Amino acid sequence: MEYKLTHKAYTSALRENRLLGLKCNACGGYTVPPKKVCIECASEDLDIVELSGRGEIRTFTVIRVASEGFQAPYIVGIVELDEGPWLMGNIIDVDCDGATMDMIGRRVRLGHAVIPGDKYSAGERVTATFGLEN
Amino acid sequence: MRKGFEGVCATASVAIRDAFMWVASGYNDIVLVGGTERVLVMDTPYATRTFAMGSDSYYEGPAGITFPGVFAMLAHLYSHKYGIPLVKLKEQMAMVAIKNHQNGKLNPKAQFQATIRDLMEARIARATQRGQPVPTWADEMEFLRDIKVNPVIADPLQLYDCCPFSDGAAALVLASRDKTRRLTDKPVLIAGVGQCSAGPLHNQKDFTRMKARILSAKQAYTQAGIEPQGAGKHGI
Ligand SMILES: [Zn+2]
Repeated sequence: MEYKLTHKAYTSALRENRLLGLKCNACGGYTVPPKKVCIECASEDLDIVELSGRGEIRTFTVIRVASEGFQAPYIVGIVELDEGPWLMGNIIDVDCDGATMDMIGRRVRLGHAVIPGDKYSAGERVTATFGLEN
Repeated sequence: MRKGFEGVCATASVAIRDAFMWVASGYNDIVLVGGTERVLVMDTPYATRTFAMGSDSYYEGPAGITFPGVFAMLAHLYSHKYGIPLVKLKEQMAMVAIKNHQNGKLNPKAQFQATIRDLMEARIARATQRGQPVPTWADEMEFLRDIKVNPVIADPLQLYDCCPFSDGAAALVLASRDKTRRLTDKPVLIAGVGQCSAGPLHNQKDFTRMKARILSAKQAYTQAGIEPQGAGKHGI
């Protein structure tokens, strides 16, 4: 079983603010983050592509009670990328108390943040971040 | 034979479905399904981290998503998609908390045996007794809107919108029709079951209508041989 786009290759690119994904040759859909098969049609006929890293906020929350290892408050959101897939990440440079429903639909651009490992994870992790455009 | 299951909030349902298959297939006559939860020994950040393990650990966990956070994002998505103002949606969710606490008071084995009004009146009584400023909530809704007594956990969800951490256990005996007759006069019959799963939340896109939920309900109705219109009550 061979993975076309590995976790390592995906996160290495993310560390450079580049978003890699898989484009399906069967249905044309995009799979981000990487998986063995297309999330739309389960085909394995996939090619690695670089996505624009731009999209619109679909939903978000301000985490006020955080998990061990995280400092509240911070914003978690899900963005619909211009190519179609939805991706979770932190919405940055927004005042937590000013994060209201009108955030939904705002244009954002991808970045990244490195999260230290904790006792339940296999070392350092990387998350997508999204900053508001204009 | 002993088996263990982990399916986050759905763990008990997954275990019951498995037990159902062993009995329905005729392999076992009786299966005991037991579930336990022991969370109060943990502090809040540790318990929150433990529950967060239900999310995708590679691509969602690093964003610091929590379980209440998942449902908080769902509430914002739902409010936007269906054009229900957040204030209205929060009012409707508060009514669920009021109803659930009322039901809890009726159950001697419930974790909380107090209505929201009981909690509100207890706070007023305590303030009065201590000679502190007495809160002036007009009703339960105003009490629940007050973030001093009902703090925000993950916008827009407040404490009473979220599941409590619990220590508890429950058990269920599943038996074949024949064995059941010897055990009870009032058996509950299982007509159909279904189970599905899905990948990380973001891959489900619009998760106001979760595909796994729709497909598993279809499986259960098909197995039961009835249409949703033919069922008296529905619960998920
Ligand atoms: Zn495809």
